[in-house]
Order: sequence, then C-alpha cells, then structure tokens
Amino acid sequence: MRRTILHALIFLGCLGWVSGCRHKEGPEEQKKIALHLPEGTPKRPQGSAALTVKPGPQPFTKADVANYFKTHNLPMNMSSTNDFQVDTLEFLTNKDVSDRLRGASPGLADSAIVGLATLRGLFIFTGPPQTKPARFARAYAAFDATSGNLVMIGTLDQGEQPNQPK
Amino acid sequence: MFGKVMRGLRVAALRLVAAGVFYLAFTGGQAFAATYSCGNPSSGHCYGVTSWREKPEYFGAYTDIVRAAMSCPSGCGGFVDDEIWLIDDKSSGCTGNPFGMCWVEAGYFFIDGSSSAQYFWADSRPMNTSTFNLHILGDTEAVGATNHYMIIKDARGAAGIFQVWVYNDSLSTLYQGTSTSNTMSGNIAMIGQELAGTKDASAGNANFTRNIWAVQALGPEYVFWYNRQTTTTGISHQDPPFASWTVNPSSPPPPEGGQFTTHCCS
Repeated sequence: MRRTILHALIFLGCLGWVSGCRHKEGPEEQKKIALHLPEGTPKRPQGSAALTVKPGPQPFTKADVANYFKTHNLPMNMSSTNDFQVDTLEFLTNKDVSDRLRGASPGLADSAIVGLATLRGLFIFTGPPQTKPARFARAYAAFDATSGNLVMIGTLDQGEQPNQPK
Repeated sequence: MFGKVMRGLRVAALRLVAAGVFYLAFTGGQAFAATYSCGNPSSGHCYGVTSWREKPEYFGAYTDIVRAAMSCPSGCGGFVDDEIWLIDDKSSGCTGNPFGMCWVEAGYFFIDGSSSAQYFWADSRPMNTSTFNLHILGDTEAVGATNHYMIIKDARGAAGIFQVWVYNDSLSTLYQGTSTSNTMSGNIAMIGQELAGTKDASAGNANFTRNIWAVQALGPEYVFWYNRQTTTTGISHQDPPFASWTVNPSSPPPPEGGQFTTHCCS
C-alpha cells in the first residue's frame, strides 16, 4: 500500500515537473529566431496587361487610356467605370512619378518611363476588416510605357465627389 | 422497344447521379456559380481571416501561402485574394486618414476579367493625399507552389519605411516593394482571404503556414528576427469566404504558427 502511494507521489511529481517545463516553453519565453532576408536582384514588376504600345514618340494616348477604362475598372475600386473619367496623361520618369505620389513608386528603374494617368470622378476603396470604405474624387493609374501594362493604381485626394455610386 | 428506351433512360439517369456524386466528392462543388453580396460601397468586402492583436507592436509579419486555384471571371464585379496584412488602427495619423487605419498588405489576387492570378502589394499611409497605393507585380506561379510573403519595418534609415518581399525558395520569384512616408506602428497581424463583388469567383483551399512576426525592426544585420504565433485566435468568416484553423498554432511546430485555411465561394 505504502509502495503504491509512493509511486503515485513520484508520478505526480514528474507530471508537475514536465508541465512546468511546458509552461517555460510558452509564448512569453520564446527566444527570437533569425530568418535571413532574400538576397538577389528583385524582378521588374510586370503589372497587368492593359494597353497596346505603338511605335513613335508616344506609346499610347489619353484616348487609349479612356477606352481601356470603359471596359476595365481600377483594381479594387468599388465604384463603376461610369463613375470616373480620364483627366490627364503624362509621360514621366519613375522617379518623377514617385515624387508626385509622396514617395509611392511604380517600382521600375528611376529613369524608366511611366504613363501617369490622373482620373476624376468617384472612387471607393476599402481595406482589411473594420476599414471604413473611403471615397475619393481623384485617383491615378500608372502604366509601364515600354509594355503598356498597368503597374500601379491609387488614390490622390478626396476633394469634391460629384457622383454617387450606382 | 419502349422497354429498351426506358432502360436506356434509367442507365443515363443513374450515370448522371453518379457523376454528380463523384463531382461533389472530389471538387467540393466549387465550379457551381456562386452569388454573394460583397461589393456594396456601404458594407464593404467580405473576409475569411484571423488576426493577432496581443503584442504592443508587430514590427513585421510573415506567412507562407500555397497558391490555390482561383478565378474571378468577367462580370464577377470585384476580386478574390489570399494575403497577409500588417495594420495600425491606433496611431492618430492612421485613425485620421480616410480609411481610419494604415496597413501594408501582400498576397495574390484574381481580378474581374483577368486571365490569371497576380502577386500584389499595397499600402494605406497616414496622410490624406496619395493615401492608398496598389502595386501589381506579375503573374503567379502554378497552383500548388509555396510563396513567402514578408512585411517588415525598416529601421536602417529614415523613419516611415516598410519593406515588402514576395519570393520562393529558389528566388525564381522575387519581388520587392517599399512603403514610404508610412510612420504606422503595426498593432495587428492578419492573414486570410478577401472577396469583392457579387458572383462567380472561386478559390480552392489555400494553406497559410509559418505564421510568424518580427520582434524587432530590420537593422544592418539584415535579418527578420521572429517569434512564431502561438495563440489560436478567433476567426472572422462571412461564408464566403470560408476560413478555419486546420492545425492549431498553439501546437508545437512544425508548422510554425499552425495552419490556417481559406476557400471560396460555395
């Protein structure tokens, strides 16, 4: 009988010791681990196929951009293509575009040429859960002038929003 | 003659039922057109996500996502994606921007009318002009490929920099982006699926593993110093998207940080 009680006590002691060890491995006790960052030359962003590039001084026109946005919405925009128009199209270096957009870069080489289209109307974007959908009066679309692909879009300002979503 | 026709019809009906049972068993019925309400400008998009909020600051977030089959055909009215977010919903500069929060996100999506899924990253910054910027990187690898998605605050230079990487082990996929003028302090790390639009999108099971977070900002040693996520956090899912923990993150690794799974839309 005594032997059984002794065995039970030893077993309970071991159990407590093991569970104590498990506790020490808990989330508060994790040691930081190193994950090395990827090294190498990142790929040039290819973007999404959008405009056909023509030979000559101007690879595409404002009318080409307007035609594209008759059938394609700005990715992630919740208003419709009827709610906005193309305002301007300029060909700038990637660096100039980045300067205009407060540091947001299309991701091409600094000297690469980008067709920056500004858009006017109503744009609605949202983000992760609990984001309030936000409305903007101006947005932009950046096209790689070499390929005509859409590489970046975004909001400019909220301004006056003339339209309501349909 | 009549009996022969009837027998033929019975056989055809049986084959049809068998084909249906087989299809449902092996595909989950995902090719059936689905309708949903995830495109309303007032209520916003639909989500199947989980998040961690218990640390004062997540300096970065990382996950591995296995590329799932995905589609959002012309007329779907939006997109479907699998992605990771690092979010600040506390800092005054972020609560004061048009969205009421800042974030950096990375993942892959299929947009209305596209012919393929594409890698992307985006940010929402603590400012009222040029707030939101979406970067379309390029076509994804084949279904089944595992890609790494890493976001980390960069303390090597000026304040307000986050680095974003999308890559695979061989570095045949390697995209990098930089979020600038972004002084957010990440207090939420989130993974999962976002769905926008009204119909016909689909996405197979996507597994999120190696769910880890950066315990410090990026320094000159160029290392993502991390802890694994260990708490089984709540899931927010609107069915669609569907989401669940398939391996509890409190289980000892592997995989680090459990396995979270999403799919869409029926």
